[in-house]
Amino acid sequence: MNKLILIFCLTFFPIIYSIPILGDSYYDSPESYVSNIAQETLTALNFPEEEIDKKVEIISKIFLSNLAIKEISLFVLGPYRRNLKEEQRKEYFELLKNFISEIYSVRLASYPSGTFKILNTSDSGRSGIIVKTLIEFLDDPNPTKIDWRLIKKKNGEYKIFDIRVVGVWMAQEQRSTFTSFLSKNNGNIDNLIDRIKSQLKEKS
Amino acid sequence: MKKITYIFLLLLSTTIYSYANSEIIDPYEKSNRVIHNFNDKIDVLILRPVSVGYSILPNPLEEGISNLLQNISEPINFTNFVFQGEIEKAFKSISRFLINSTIGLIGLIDVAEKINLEKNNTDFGFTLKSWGIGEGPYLVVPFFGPRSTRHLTGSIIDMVTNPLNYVLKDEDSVIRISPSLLYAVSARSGNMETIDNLRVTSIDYYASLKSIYIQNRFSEEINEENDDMIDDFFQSLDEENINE
Repeated sequence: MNKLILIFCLTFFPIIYSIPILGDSYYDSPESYVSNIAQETLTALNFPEEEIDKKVEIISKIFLSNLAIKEISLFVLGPYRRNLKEEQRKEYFELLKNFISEIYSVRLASYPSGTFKILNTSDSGRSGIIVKTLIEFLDDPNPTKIDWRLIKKKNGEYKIFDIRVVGVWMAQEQRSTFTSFLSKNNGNIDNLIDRIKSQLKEKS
Repeated sequence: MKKITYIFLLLLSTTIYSYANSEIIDPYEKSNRVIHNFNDKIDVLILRPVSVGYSILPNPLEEGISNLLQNISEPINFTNFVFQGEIEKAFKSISRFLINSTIGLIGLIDVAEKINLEKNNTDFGFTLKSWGIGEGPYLVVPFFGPRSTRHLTGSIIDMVTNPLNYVLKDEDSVIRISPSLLYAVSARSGNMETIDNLRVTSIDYYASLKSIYIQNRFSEEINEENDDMIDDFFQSLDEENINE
C-alpha cells in the first residue's frame, strides 16, 4: 500500500505542482492561443463607446501579458540595438512595455466588437508562426483581416511578436519610427527614452 | 499636353535606375517633411472636419458612394490589367463595370461582387512595375500624400487617361474634380480612428505614414523581406544568448 501511495505521489505530484507554473500563454496550438486573445479582446470591445478608457485598460492588460516585450523592444531599435547599454536596459524595457501595450490597446480599442474566425496558419520557421484571422465587425459590412505573428519561447509558451491590422505590421511600423528618430539623434538611446517618456506623459 | 509629357518623362527617368524592391530611398526627406506638415495642416483644418460630417451619413449611403467610386475606377483597372498581361483580372474589371453600371444603378450597388466578380484594384504605377521600372525615391506630394516616384508617375498617367475626364470635360471645374474630392473624403472617413490614433501615438508621424504607405503598397515584397529580417534578428539574438 505504501508503495502504491509512493508511486501515486511520484506520478501526480509533478503534474499537480506544475499547473500553477503554466501561465496563460500555454496552449497546445497557436490557433487556440490566438482564439483566446481575440475572444478576450472582442469581449472588451463590447463595452459602450463612453467607457473607452475601460476598454483601453482591459485590452492593455491582455496585451501586456501576451506580447513578447523583450524581443519587440530590441527589434524596434533596428541597427541601433547595439547602442543599448546594460544600464539602460531595465528602464528601456519597462518603458517599452507600457508604450507598446498602450499603442496596441489604443489602436484596437477604436474598433467595434464582432466575431472572428481563423483562416490559416503558416510556420515561417525562425521568423515565427503567422495565424491569419478575419474579424467581422458588428456595424461594418467589410470584414477586416488581422494577422498575428507568434513566437514560441524556449519554455514552450507562445507570445505575440507582431500584429498586422489593415495591412500594416505594427512592430514593423514602430521599427521605422524608432530608427528614423535615432538616425536624427546620432543613435542616442537616452534621447529615445526621453521621447517615449514624454509621449507616455502626453497620453496620460 | 507637352508639359505633362515632360513631367512624365522626368519622373520616369528618376525611377529607371532605382531599386526594384520595396526599399525606397528618401533623399528628399527634408522637403518631404515640410510638405508632410502642410498636408497634415490641410487634414486637420479641412479634410478631417469634412470627413467627420461625411461619416454621419447612414451606412448604406456611405457604402453606395464607396461602390460608385470603385465603379468609376474600373475602366482604369481594366486598361492597366491589360497592360500588365493580367487578362483574367482585366475581364473581371470590365465585367464588373458593365454589370454595376447597369443592374447596379450606375455603380451604387455592387451586384458584381454578389456573383463572385470580386474587386481588384491596380494603377499605372503597378503597370510600370510589371515592365521592370524601379520604384524611385519616396516623395510626399501636396494634397496627395506619400507616393514613390513610380507611383506618382502612374497617378499622373491614370489621371490624364481616365475616361471620366472626357465625360466631364465640358462640366464646371468643381464637378470635374468632385470624384477625386469625394474619394479623399470617403477614404479619410474610413480611416478616421486609425489616422487620429497614429497622430497621437507615433513618436515620428512622418516615419509612421511612410512605413504604412510602403507596407500597403508593397505587401507581397514586404512579407518576404519581413520574414528574412525577423529571421536574421532572432538568429542574432540566439548568437548573443539574449533569446529566452
